Amino acid sequence: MIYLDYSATTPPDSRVLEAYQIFNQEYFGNPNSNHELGILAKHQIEKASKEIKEILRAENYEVIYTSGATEANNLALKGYALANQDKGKHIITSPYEHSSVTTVLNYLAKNGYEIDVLDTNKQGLVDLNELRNLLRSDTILVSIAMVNSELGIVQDFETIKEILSEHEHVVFHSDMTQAIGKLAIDLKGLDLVTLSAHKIYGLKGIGALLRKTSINLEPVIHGGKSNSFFRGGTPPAPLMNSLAVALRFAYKDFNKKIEHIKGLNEYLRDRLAEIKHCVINYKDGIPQILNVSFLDLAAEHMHHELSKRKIYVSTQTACNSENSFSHTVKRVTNSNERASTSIRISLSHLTKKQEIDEFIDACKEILNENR
Amino acid sequence: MKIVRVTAMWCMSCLAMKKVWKQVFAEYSDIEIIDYDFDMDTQAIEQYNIGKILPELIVFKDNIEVKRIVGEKSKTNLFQILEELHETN
Repeated sequence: MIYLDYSATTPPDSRVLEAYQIFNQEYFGNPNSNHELGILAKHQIEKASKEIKEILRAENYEVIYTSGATEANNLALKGYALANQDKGKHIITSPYEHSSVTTVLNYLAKNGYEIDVLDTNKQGLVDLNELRNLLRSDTILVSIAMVNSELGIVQDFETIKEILSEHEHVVFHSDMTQAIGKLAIDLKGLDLVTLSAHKIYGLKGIGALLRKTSINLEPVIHGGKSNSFFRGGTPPAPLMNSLAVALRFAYKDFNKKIEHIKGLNEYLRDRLAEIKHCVINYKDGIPQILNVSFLDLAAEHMHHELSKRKIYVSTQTACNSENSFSHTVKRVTNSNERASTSIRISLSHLTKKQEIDEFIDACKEILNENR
Repeated sequence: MKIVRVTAMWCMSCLAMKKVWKQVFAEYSDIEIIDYDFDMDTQAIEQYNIGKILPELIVFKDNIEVKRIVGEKSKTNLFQILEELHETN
């Protein structure tokens, strides 16, 4: 098997799995219980939250554990919009958001909120002048993903933060699912931050919303007094702890891992250049993601043929009714042909050069067979 | 004139177009809009053979399909399309 779909999900780190198992055995008490075992589990959650905040330098935030990024995005957007509707109903976003942001914003639009979607320039970056012009007294929220999952576009957060710093009434949320663990990040200027464990070699079923403590939210899942007022339910303590462990190891030997991935990315580009009618759809993204189009073959066909050979990549589903057309690629390249033939290859520190070679050989073989 | 408008909750272009539609269709009191959700109204939209890209607007005149407006359009472009359709009356 050759796995080149690390932006979709990652295999859990064995140290995360081990920590999860040990935690389940040693701290199985309900953290909401008042007896010693419950208190012990609760203390372990507090330790995990402390570690997450230390790693992300997020001292002024609460870690609200969720089932993943989708729930965190729901809580950030619905939670903030509903709790602050007396301040306004205007929200600004980017066109490159994950469907868990888009769907919530469509839901809010149906319920009387006004949503503006920013235009983008040729580099795929959101139009900052438009952002400046759109901000108004009833704007309550700006939600922009730092890294786009399909092309790896990194938005200019320094300038966005600078613009928003002049509008103190506007809260800034970012879905950082594709950024945390892949980039060195600075949370300064951010009020709400979404993250997910399974994108950083952690477990599925756990994520978090970092909430700056001054930000008020309406809970999406109401429940009894629990780990957070903003999220009901018995805290899944072993999963919560596993998020901290995943984050710890995601940033361990970080520079070394990034250098390895950068090298692979360059090698992949060199090898792809050997293939006729293969184009790179975005050249300046994060090194972990490379989106390419094999113009001679529909994306779903290439995806299927690779999958038959046990090579796993992604096609994208954005604003389309079939899974072969990438709205994001169309937006950046202005080409239907590229959008219909695009494949996302996502790399990891675990990826080997030999796997790239085998992937390239398979692509050549598939394209030859289909000529 | 009648427009069947097919959108989806996960569709960013549909979200982006909401504001444009509000502004443009406010100018045309003679256009009846019928909204369908791509995922919820599967039976109702089956007859329209919806393509790959959303949103899709199907324009009918006297119950005859005359045009499909697919994907994101600028306000100017949408006005232009609707004006042309009105001129051919």
